[in-house]
Amino acid sequence: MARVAESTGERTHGGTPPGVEDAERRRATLEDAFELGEHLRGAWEATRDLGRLRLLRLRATLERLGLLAVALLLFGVAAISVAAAAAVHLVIGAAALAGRWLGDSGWGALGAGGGILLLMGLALLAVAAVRSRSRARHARSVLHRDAVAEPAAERAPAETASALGRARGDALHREAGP
Amino acid sequence: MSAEDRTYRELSAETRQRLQGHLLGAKAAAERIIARHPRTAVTTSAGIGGVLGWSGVFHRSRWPAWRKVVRVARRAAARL
Repeated sequence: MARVAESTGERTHGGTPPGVEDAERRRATLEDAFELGEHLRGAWEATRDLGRLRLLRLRATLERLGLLAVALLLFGVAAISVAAAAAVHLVIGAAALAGRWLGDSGWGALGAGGGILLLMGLALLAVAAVRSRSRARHARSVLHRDAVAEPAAERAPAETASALGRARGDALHREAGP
Repeated sequence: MSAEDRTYRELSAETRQRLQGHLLGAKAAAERIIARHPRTAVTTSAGIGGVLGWSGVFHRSRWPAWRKVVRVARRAAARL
């Protein structure tokens, strides 16, 4: 840098020796570079916080709508498609056996359809078991909470997803700092 | 408007302001550096631009992609 300044013969203020001015310029540039880096870091953090806030809002919205409802909807769509596949297998297998064409493939298609239905039934049983267990746990926790007689005004908002999102947002805001 | 919506709006407005402040600060610092070393800035920019151009980033076939980048950047700037 100093060599460039000397070779290009840049301006000197009054009687200041060129070496001193170069050192000052270098120091000021270094400070500016540090400030630039700090600002870039801050901009990156602010962008990240904006993304996190957006994610939090999305999560709060989903929780408000009911994640269970969304999951059940997805599960329902999947179940309907699997059931349709099973029905197609069964129909094709029955038709093949009735018409005596395709040979053993008819039994194979019937077996596949029956297997799919069996797996669906098992999956439904598993989901029902999990749901009943979680419902029982929830009921136990409610009973326990009622037993310790927590004030209703304190427990009602804490349960809502919106309060959860707000608390996360506050934490994020605190973490972000001034 | 619900309470969490209000909180979200306030928080995101603050964060956007913070981002804008940082961007303005970075711009000012860069401008100071450029003003202090104009020749170095020009040389460096030309060097970076030359290398990028040589690598084909600004080839005509990339213009649609650049247009998309500019559109996205404009939208992001308008939302700030």
